[in-house]
Amino acid sequence: METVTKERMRELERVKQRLQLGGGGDRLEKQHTSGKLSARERLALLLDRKTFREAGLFAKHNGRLFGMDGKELPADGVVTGRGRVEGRLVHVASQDFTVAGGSAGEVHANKIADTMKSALKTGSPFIFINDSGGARVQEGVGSLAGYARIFYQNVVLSGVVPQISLICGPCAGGAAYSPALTDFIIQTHDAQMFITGPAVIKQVTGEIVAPEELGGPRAQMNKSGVVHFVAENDVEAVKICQRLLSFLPNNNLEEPPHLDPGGAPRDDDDLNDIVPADPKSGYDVKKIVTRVMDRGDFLEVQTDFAKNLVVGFGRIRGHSVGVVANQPSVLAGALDIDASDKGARFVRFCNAFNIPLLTFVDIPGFLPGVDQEYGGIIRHGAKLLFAYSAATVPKITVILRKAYGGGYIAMCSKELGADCTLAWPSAEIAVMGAEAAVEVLFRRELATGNDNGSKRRELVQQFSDTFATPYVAAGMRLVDDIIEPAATRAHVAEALGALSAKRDWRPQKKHGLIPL
Amino acid sequence: MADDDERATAAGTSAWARHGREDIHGSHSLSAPLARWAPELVEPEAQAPVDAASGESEPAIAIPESVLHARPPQRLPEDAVCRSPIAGLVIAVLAIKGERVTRRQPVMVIEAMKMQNNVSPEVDGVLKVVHVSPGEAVKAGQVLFELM
Repeated sequence: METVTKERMRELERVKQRLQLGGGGDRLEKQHTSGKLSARERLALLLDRKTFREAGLFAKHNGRLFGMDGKELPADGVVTGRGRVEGRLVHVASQDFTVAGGSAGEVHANKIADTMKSALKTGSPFIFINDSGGARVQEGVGSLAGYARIFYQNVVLSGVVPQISLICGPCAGGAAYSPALTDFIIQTHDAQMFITGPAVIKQVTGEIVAPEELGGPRAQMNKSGVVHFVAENDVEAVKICQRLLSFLPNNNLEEPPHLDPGGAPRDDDDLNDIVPADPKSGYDVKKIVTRVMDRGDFLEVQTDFAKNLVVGFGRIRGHSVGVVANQPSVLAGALDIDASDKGARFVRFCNAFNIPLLTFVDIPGFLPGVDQEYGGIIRHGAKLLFAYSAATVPKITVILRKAYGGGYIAMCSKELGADCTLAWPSAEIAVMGAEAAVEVLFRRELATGNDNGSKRRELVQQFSDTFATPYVAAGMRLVDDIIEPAATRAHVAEALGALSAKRDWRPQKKHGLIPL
Repeated sequence: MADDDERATAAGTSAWARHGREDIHGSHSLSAPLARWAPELVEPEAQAPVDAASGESEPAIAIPESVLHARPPQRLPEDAVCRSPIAGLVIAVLAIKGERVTRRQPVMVIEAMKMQNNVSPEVDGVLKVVHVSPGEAVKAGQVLFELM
């Protein structure tokens, strides 16, 4: 006999199926032919199987004007809920471009903001997959208010749970500011981010620029440094997100996941041969970084922005570390405006989420130049000093070669609170390079002397014998130990272990005033 | 549902939950089942970079070929023009006009800050014109070479 419940169950199944189709067959097909996955497909790839619990499938939009009344927009164009990534709870929002172009109406935005509140309550990461035409114009200012609610929640969540944005389609205008307020942005090749698009720019300034030139991943990575990871397609974007999460704790009160530590670290003799004997020669510092990490596994952040500073995540004996390293083969490894900003932001992220900092130093100083000074290198460089000094996580510094002047200080020197400072025998820790120092110290003598060349060489030699070594700094206890490069991994692993319970007391305050 | 029960118990003892309920500060190790990221026992010399995402199981959904197809490299208007990243002295030009060069290939060496800095183009291409020669001092932003 047919019961009421059975009939209702069938009805439920029908409604759910209809709503889960989003914009339906043709639009889904179009999504695929334009190289994109659907909102639900992206979540299916991201989350562990059968772990997605949706909230708000039945949500209805509240647009009444301009033909919106009575129009069905399934889930109001955004799929929200929670699920697991490798067994760990995450909260997700995934915009559905097949429903009204993924446009953000008020209910759409409120669903996202409510998901963020759940992430906060449960101390779990928030992942926002963006693919939206922008504000839903028919809803007017209600749509703007919705954006603002999301931004506000982004700020409330900031530093409490990791926030990751995937940009898998258009993300223009106000919409771009939610990702901007999150910790990491992963952009696909076909996606674009900008505040004002090509049409508005042409109208206002007369400049003609193609959308991908303005807001494609190359523009937003190489030029602006807005984006942290570039993915070839949606599948790769999801993989990057999963890999990134594996290094992070779920919230700021927990430690990052510990993996199997493996066997005791062994000496790696190849590390002895990477830094060239000629101090003028560059090398790729990533060769050193990857050799020190477990399995050589290093997730670099912002690979193509401010390449003179390398930042990223790795593990040592199963524990996550945040790596900051000068790249001597780019701009001599000097710190400039962009590198300072990049480094400071990364250091602050690691500190917020209990990830120890490992700094590799080979720096000739801050980059000289009129454009650097006019651009405010004083203000920007200060961010790195601030971030390192304010960081209370374990801080380990390894000086590979040059550590000159202000650059020496900025790269997590002992005085900025490094808990363990190690130097390779190739380290040169000094206020400046030997030739420049001789020029400053003996300018008058050298100008009047008649045997300029040989006297100068003698002085340079004398200066570099004295200061172009780690021994003076170690004598002053600015360096704790001088180690064989081959044993770096073992030394760092031991120090991380010893510092795992580190506490660092600071005065109570609302917040420090990082020179933004 | 055994799995879910375990998770619920684990969450109940996490630092997050304790902090919220009893206001206790403290750290707590979270051991998550992240086996595929675990380091294997390897000799240090065998520590070559690995594709950490390899060795995965089948994807949860069928992925259309249109999503996976390789994209052409993106171009920016300034790509063809290579400018000096730094003020310094050109000490070597490593490619000649008409030569095919790649974005990872050093085309010029500029000495600055007592360091030899390799300059590579932003994109792959053919060298159309070289504007400077060894021994020449260049400013930051000065055009060094152009690609076709």
